Amino acid sequence: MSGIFLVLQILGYIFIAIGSFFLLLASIGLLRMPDVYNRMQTATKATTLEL
Amino acid sequence: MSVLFGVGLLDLNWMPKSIVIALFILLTAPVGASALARASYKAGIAPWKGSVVDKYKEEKEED
Repeated sequence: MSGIFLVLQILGYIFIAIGSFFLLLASIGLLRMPDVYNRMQTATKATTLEL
Repeated sequence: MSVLFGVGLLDLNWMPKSIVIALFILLTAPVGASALARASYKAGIAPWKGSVVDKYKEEKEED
């Protein structure tokens, strides 16, 4: 019974790690992209899929 | 979406709430971003110098 919850916890931490990694990539893109539209694209894609 | 799903897996009581939040974000974030981009284009903010294609301008010229 508690083994299932352990697996769920590990899966949850893996999901949180993946999401925060892509959010970090999005913030780097927000700093590096040249104009308004590209920056908006990186920020929105990350917010939609990773948050 | 990924972070919300992970939080829902950590505590299953939060799963319905996080699914609802993810749905709302999935619906509203792209709409808001496209409205902001269109408004900033109409306000006269030019695209980057190295941009290759400007479909919005082409579409306007066709009309």
